[in-house]
Amino acid sequence: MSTDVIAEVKRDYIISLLQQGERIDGRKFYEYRNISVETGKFEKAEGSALVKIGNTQVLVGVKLGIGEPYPDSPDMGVLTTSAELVPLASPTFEPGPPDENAIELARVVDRGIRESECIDFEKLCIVEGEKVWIVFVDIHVLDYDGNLFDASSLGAIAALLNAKFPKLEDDRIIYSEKTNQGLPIIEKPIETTFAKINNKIVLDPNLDEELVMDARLTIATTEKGEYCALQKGGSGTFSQEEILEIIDVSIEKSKELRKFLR
Amino acid sequence: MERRIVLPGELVAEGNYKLGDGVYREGNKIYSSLLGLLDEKKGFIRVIPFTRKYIPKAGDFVIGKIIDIQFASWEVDINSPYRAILNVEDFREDLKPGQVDLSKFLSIGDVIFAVVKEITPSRRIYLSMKMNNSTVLRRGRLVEVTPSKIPRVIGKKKSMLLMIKREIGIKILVGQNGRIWLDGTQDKINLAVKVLRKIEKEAHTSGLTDRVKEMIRRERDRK
Amino acid sequence: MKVGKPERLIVNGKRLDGRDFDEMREIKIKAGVLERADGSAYVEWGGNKILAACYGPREVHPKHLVKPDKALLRCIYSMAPFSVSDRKKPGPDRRSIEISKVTRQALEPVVFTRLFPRTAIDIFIEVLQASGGTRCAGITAASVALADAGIPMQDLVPACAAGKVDGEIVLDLFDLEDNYGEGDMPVAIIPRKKEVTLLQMDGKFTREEFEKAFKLAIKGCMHVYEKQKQALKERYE
Repeated sequence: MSTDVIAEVKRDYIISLLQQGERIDGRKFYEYRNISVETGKFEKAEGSALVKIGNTQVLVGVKLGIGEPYPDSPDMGVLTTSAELVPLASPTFEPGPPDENAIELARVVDRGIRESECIDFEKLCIVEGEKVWIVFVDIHVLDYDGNLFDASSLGAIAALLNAKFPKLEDDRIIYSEKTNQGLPIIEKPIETTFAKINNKIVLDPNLDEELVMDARLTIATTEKGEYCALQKGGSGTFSQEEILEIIDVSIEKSKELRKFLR
Repeated sequence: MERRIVLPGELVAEGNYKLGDGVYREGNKIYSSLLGLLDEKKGFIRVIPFTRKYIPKAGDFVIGKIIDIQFASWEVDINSPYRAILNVEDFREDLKPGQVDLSKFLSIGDVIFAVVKEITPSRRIYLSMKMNNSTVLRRGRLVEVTPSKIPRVIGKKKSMLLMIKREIGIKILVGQNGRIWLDGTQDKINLAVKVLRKIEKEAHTSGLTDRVKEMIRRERDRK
Repeated sequence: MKVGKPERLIVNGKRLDGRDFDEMREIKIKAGVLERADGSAYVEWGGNKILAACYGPREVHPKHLVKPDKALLRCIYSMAPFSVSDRKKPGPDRRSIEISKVTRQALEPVVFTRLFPRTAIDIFIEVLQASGGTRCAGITAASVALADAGIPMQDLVPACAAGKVDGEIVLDLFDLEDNYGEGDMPVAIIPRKKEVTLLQMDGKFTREEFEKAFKLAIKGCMHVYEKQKQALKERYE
């Protein structure tokens, strides 16, 4: 597939631009592409958000169901996050069960939500030990142009904030009737992703930058300014100084993204 | 015949015409098979697609990317549904397969400017680098443009291309396969990219060459 | 008696969503909505929201599927987990696999596959929100995506369903009618020749009812055809 091998000329071009302090699309090193977040447009989902970062588009849907709690947390609801890199989103995505990239994406987004204690799980308990609400966060990547992590996690939080409980009658969920009650959300974690290309660090890599990057670092932070999840990707390395600089910038940048949440 | 946007299945003509790409005949009637611009000249009718795909023709100059190395040839991506092959003997006469490590000359990721030498009936595409302009491209910037817009980038008798080279002062190599290589200073490359995007967007309008020349002069004066 | 079935699907000569028997739901189509795909289309049809994309002609992977004399047309229809009330587990199920197959066979007759031997033309349909008639909306969207990708075709392929609800033949079933009605007939055609490329039916129809529904569905297809053409023309104006 022609997108797998990036032309050396292109790689060299990106690197030489970075040496001069420029990026291939004209952005500053720590600048996001255009971002938009639209919530609630998909009515079969209890909550939804369509996030665009540049040309990357991710649709996240939240579904609510009822099931048994985990034995070790009988009074807490359950969160499960999954991601699909659907083939229409990129010539490089093939049909089939989630591959390692889809699995990593889901787990990193999940960690941001879970470790930040974003959802007050105890409020999702219906009958202790027997019945709790299950929150399904389903990430559906629609157009891949770099940086799926930030788009997916922003979409996940926006969709969770947008979600409303369906009506519960005796033991049956009536999906067609939505209540006005939202999920118990008590934190708004944000993920920001940085790419390292030949010793330069840039925020929000676009597709070209992702194809040539040596390594990537995704950081999840809470509104209170705490770090709740980190993931390094790619087969390159970061120095300690680089990591410390990145996590500082991450806090600043997350404030920008958080503005897109209601 | 008026140049208008047509759709697959749309009736575009009746009677005796010579058919080019993008049209098909049923009895006396001729229909479009593509979403594109209807083009009729002197009894020759075709539809120019808005599509991105490049279908190679012998004699086309293309900018290709080496994606694999075989025993006696390189496999080249030319932005087409078909991979192209560059045999050793079409690269340099003095090289013999088996005697040399091909990757010493062209390795994976290298970019070349070559010509389509031959297309066999089973759609195997052979390139050659023995024409005058053929070269390996080392620095500079690669830009991709919709292949069907390339004729507009070149212009009648190369008018657009020559004007851009002269007015901006930049080296350009244009591949029929929608890839363009630019070499010059950062500013000039950026301006050239802007120009190419404008041509891509406004390819089907008239007076474009003059508007582009004006745009270049305006940008130059601003500096 | 199915749980949740409304007592009547037709009340005072109107359907539960207020439509007449031969009235279609509102349809909006936009072509060229994705950056990476060679061609794409987004369809909103009543409560359905469907995204379709086309990649091709492109290389065939895995190589052993290559056809020496024409392009391989492949189609995958898939529903997002959040597209329906009761969350659907990700991954293909038997229904999706069947729909993928009939969709491909609805589109194949119009594509000039012989122009691109040894390549693949891949179509992907993602149902983001479902409300009855997703396979017809999917075929409709895929056809626009193919045209948007510049794939040469004889014609566009519109699709539409008709069915039987409370004994009446109606056009373009929405989800309640789809679930609780007495018959469903999705149809796709090549508009210029009115040749049928998709025809399925479930339920019970007399001969007379069959013909009525069939003709009604074809009328619906012609209406959808106008929407497809409009979307493609708007793309470049």
